[in-house]
Amino acid sequence: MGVKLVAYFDVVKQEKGLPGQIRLAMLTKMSSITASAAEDSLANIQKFEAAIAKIREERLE
Amino acid sequence: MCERYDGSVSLSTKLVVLLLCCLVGLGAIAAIALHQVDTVRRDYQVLLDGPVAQARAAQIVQVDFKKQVQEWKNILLRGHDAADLETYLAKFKAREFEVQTGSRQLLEQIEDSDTRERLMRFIQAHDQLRADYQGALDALAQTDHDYRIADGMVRGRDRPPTDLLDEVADRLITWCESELIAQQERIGRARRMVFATSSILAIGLLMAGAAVARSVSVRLARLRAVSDRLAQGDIEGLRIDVSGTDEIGALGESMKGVLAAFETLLAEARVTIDSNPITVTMRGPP
Repeated sequence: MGVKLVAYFDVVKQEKGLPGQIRLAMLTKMSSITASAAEDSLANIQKFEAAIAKIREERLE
Repeated sequence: MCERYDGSVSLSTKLVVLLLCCLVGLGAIAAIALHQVDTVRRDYQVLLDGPVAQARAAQIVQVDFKKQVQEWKNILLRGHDAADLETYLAKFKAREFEVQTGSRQLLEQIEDSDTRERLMRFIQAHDQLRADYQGALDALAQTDHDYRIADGMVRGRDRPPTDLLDEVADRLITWCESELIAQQERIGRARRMVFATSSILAIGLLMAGAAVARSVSVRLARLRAVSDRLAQGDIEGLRIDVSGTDEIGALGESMKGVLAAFETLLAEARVTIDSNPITVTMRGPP
């Protein structure tokens, strides 16, 4: 349940820190807690992938 | 960072559509009302050109015929003077001609078979009466204006055509009155139709307006409640149930992101606090 989704939070934390995590939650409308309870469905994974890609393009402070 | 709303149906679009619907509705009501007014005007024109005109023509023939008979009596009573006789005779002939032409013109207009039949009988009776009057006039000339002989030749002969003409006029007036009543009923129906149509349109527009207003106010109230709880940090079990493709729906979606970010921030704060417990030491005054 949501293992992959939670992993995205870890990835973005390593790359962008706390602002990256907050930005990921905002873009996906899912907190890390919600993500852990959500399905690792294709739709959710695509949503997180798209959000991660967007965050990587952004300059977060 | 700026997120732009790209929803398919914005709130302003809904309001513009509602306004357009109102305008179209008002236009439709005005068009229906104008159409009904035009229909009533045309119906009245048909009524005036048909039943009213025929009834009026019949009454004119009635009056002319009565005047013709009156002129005959003038000939009998005052025709002993040659000049008066000439005057009354000219008036008598003029009335006779008017009755003849008027009744024949009326016959061309009348469609009802019974009324036509009565008018034709009147025309025949009037033609016969004309011959009778001519015979009486000849007798008057031959008897040195002995009006009793002339009067005896035509006495009472004008009653049958008078009765026939009265029947024709009565039938036409009755028809005219029934058409007027029917016209009033048509106007009543048209009025009810315009009222019903405009009421349905008005109710529809009111319901649509109320639906839009309710949709906006209910969802804004939900968002305000969410915002109040976020402001108090009370996010336990908080869910945002605001949907829609307009700006409010987009705001709801945005607030879902804010809530998710808030939850993530709190979770991270808890993790940080758990891994780095803070020790506070209370000291007394120096």
